[in-house]
Amino acid sequence: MDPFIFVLITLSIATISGYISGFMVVQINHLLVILLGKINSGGHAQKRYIPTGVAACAIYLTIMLFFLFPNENVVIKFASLPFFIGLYVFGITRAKRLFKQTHKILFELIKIMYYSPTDKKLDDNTIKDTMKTADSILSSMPQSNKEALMILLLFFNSTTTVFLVSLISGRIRLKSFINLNTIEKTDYLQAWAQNKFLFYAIQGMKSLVSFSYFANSQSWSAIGYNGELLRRSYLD
Amino acid sequence: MNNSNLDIVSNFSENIHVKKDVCIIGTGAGGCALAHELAKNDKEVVMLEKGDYYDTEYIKRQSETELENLWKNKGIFLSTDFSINISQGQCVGGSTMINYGICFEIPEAVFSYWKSAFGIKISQDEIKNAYARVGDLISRRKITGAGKCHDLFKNGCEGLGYSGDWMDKAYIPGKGKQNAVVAFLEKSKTNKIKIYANCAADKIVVGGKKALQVVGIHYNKETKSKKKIIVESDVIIVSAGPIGSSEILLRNNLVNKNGEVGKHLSLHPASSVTAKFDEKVNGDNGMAMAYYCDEFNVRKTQKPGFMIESVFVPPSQMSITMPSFGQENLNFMKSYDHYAMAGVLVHDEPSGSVELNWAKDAIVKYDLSPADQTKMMDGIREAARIYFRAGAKSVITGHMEKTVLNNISDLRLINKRGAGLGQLLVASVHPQGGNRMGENSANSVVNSHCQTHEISNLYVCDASVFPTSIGVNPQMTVMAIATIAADHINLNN
Repeated sequence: MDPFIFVLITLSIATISGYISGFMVVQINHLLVILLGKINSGGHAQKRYIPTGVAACAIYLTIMLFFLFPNENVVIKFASLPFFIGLYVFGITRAKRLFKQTHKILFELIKIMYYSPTDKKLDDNTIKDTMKTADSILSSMPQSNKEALMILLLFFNSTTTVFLVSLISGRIRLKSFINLNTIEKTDYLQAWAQNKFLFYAIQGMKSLVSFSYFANSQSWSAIGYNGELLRRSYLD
Repeated sequence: MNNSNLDIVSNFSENIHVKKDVCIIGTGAGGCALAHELAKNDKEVVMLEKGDYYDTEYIKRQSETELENLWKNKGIFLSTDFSINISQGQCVGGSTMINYGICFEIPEAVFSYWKSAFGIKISQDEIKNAYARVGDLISRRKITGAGKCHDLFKNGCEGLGYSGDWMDKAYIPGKGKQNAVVAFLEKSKTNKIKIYANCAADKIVVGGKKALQVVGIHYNKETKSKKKIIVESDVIIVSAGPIGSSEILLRNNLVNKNGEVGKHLSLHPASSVTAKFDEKVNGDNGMAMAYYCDEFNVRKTQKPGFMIESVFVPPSQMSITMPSFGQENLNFMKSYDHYAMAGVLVHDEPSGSVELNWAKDAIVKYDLSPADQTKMMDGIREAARIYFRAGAKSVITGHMEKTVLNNISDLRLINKRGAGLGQLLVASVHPQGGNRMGENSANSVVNSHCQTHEISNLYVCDASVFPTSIGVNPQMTVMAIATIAADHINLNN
């Protein structure tokens, strides 16, 4: 093969396979955390990406050396490895950017959990304060707990999950949670709440949101709480 | 902010190197009781505390969300399968700052089991004496005037002829609850005790067969910088709570030749039972915890069972135990002032463990055994029965699936719902074990005086040394065991 074309092909393969490997390793990690739960005990997912990356490099080289173009220039094949590694890291970075969405997902979740068409009293400040408390709790959580909860939020938001869960209740929705309208969001949440297995899956999210909502004084007058019990339990 | 007579350093901007007689890691029930007794004997004591110092004035003026700062991770620490949340204090005073100051002595059957199964050499007289000394310092007395939500629970117990009583609490009427800071540290020779807050113990340096120094990391909140504190001392005591102490020992690979560090963890798993009454109960006007039913507890039955304790919590905590989400959850919460509440506390098997993850942070592995699940279901059923006897209109359990019992015949639902993973919301505030006490060095970490088998001047002294869970609130027993350990240290150093 023409050496120039071979260089181009090799770099293309390194680039595409590196990026896909990096992106997928994050997604697969998410899936494992959700399916197996106990995976989260490792915490600090990034530490798992290093051995996975080493394994991905080994697989890439093995395929390039022995299966794809076995008779072509070995030096070019080895020289493509840094591209593979670079794009693997880039793929991970891109996939992890999804984590930034968790704040918005949580915000939308809080809004919809306490949305009431008949009760307009719930103003933006209540939502903002609830969100502030939830953020503060998230930032104080042990890394492994926080990681798992954020992954759960991404899972909850994903278009695939929305599609499958909505299908259970006989509806077809092909949008992520944050892109659903208010009625659709309410339906989606109800589908989770009414199924005991699904409900268990998002109990952590429910606890975080409920705790944050009722820790704020705006919610107290509606339930007749005097706001002093916690303080008194520390002092009296 | 330090309005007490204590020598507390919360912030420093240079590395510190100190040399004292004793270094105590942790300032909770065990750490404070130790410091008091050691200082009484003129020992110079340094205490390292990972959390901050919060005085009474701070607590008086902060919002409810700010008060969560007194908790470790704001009260959230989930076991690896998310099945149980373990809440502990993390501030000067530890969990004694945030608990209800409830005082129970170790049930005789449990203490006898410790002696026969683990060879514990603490005598009955010794432990009784320690309880008396601790009781005086913390002003232990029986609760009175706890409020209607507790009266209802008491009425239900009495109606069924179940054994129960008002709890003993560490408090002085008019002055309030006694935590370890006011009960021990403020009554100590304060010139003998120096406390460094916001300092996490990182390393325990060992040379030969001696623990030489503790290296702590101080996080300065103002400058957002880290500084080192090195404490050299003749005696080092790890008193950071069952999870924290095991974490420190595991991270430093200390006293673990037999692989026992972090093992045999119990959690006293607890679940809630909330009863709705027609009349207003206004639980938030009463005490947070006050009456117990020990009809099915080891105190009465001589074998591990469960305790039912009347409790009332703020809406943030109650809402988590209430069914469903958002609006439906909010609708349940609208009856907050009509609720009374009890916690079922299971005297569990030591089936859990503290381990380190890849980042060397502590994780907790714990499964509620089938036997403990049965105890939990029995406990929930009995608590519901007590409330129906007291006149409750309905009873709500902490099951994941909405479970509202409307009459006695609905009690059968409890077994149907179960108490296993994914079935019931379970929480823990009493972790115990992890660094088992015993005279056989092959299967325990410390001896009867909390001294580690492997390093003679290294001690572990908190609820982590309990060989088994004790079936009742453990604070006072931690203090009593610390008092006995302090006597041993005073005698031998």
